[in-house]
Amino acid sequence: MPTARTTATGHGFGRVLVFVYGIFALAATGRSTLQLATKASEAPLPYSLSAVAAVVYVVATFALATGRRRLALATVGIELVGVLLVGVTSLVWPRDYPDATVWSDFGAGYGYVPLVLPVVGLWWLLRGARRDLADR
Amino acid sequence: MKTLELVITAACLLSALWLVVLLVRDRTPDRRLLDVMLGVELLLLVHLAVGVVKVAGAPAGVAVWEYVGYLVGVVLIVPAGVVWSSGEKTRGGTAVLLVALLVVPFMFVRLSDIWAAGA
Repeated sequence: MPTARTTATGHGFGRVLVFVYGIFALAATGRSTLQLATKASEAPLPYSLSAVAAVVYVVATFALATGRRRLALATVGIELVGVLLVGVTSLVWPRDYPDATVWSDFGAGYGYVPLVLPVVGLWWLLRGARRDLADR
Repeated sequence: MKTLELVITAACLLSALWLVVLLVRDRTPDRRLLDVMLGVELLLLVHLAVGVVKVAGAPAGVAVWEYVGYLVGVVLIVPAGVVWSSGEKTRGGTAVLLVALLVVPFMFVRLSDIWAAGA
């Protein structure tokens, strides 16, 4: 259906993207709530990072689902920077990460989906933005 | 519980394969596939009950709340996928079902990992 709807961030391929983001929003929120509620003092750095990741995923899901392209770009961008930074630092200074976050080791615990997701997300958002410009 | 998980995994993977065929041919899911997914969901509810009973007698080291979180999450994923894909009669909508079905076996692996880490 090559109508205007295909450029909306939450339709077509975006439908799957929002679903996967939703899963990660839930998983990261659940994980960080559990970590902060039961053992916050054990590993403050990874647990705060888990909470940051959770917020980023929740906002990104909301932005993609409702077609807020700017907000989506910002959060997906933060997500990419986050997964790269945490990925590198968790490998270089493993002692600072006594427990895992969603983004540890580039998201290896989640099949590297956290690493692939922001790249796909940015591709999808920028592709849609170009289409919008071309339509004008 | 292992047998139950194997049966559910087999049903999920077969449905996933069928969904790939549908995706390639650009068709929307048929009635029979939705029936299979309903069957998967009913088995997942049994799985939840069995899992809760199992975790009630868990060794002290098992992360009970994490385990319960995954037990409940795996029950929610398939209906969530059906609801989210229902408004979208495109490849995107079909692919949502595919993702939902593939997440189920992944969460089974997580469940046994959590159990093994604490037992």
